[in-house]
Amino acid sequence: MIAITIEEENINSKINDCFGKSEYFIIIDSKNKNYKFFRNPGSEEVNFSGIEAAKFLINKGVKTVFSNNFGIKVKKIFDRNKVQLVLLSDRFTHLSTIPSIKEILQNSSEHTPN
Amino acid sequence: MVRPIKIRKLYLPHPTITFSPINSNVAEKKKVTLLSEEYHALRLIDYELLNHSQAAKVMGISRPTITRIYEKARKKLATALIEIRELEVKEGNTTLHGSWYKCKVCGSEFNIPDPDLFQELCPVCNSSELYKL
Repeated sequence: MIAITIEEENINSKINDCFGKSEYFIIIDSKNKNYKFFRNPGSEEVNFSGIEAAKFLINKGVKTVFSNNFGIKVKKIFDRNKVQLVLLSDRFTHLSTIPSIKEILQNSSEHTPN
Repeated sequence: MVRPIKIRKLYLPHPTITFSPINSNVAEKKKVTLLSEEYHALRLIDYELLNHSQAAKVMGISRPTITRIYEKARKKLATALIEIRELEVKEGNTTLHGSWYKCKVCGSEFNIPDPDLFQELCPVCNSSELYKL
């Protein structure tokens, strides 16, 4: 399962720049070909937003996270849980521009993974 | 004999980028060069708000060393802002911690935390044309 940090709760959203400060996540289940949006549970926190968010995604079974930036505390948690981090190239500004998930976003509707 | 420089550890790849003022003619001015360890020190101390001891630990160097690197970084940043010069980020005496790859096709960077769990493919565009960072 893949999580991506985004600004709005829709499939045309912009990618958010920083993992912990992201407002929303989209979690994409590439096996069952569905996706769901989640509010970042740490977005209200000042200092530990990234940690809250990382734990949340790990609990959801996410194995790969796409963002533009990750903090050191978040990196440590993800390393411990063997989660892959992806720093998106700046040519990918919107969710809909990412090639590996395009098909899933176009062909399925929102659905709870698992 | 001088002591050899201890390689500084980075936990994320640093961008190779040049910052340039958009409404000023900087063509004739010399660029300010920020080294990757200085860029990383700014990130850990001013962006992630770690104290110098914590940042030193992350980069695998001593507290006085990180303080020196950080001072240099701030001086260079201020020079670029005040003298209105371009600021480029260049590779310094650093090594990247963990196995990181860059995709030749889309330019995204990613790590492979466990070779048994992840394939050597770009998670963004599925390309297998990668190089190790």
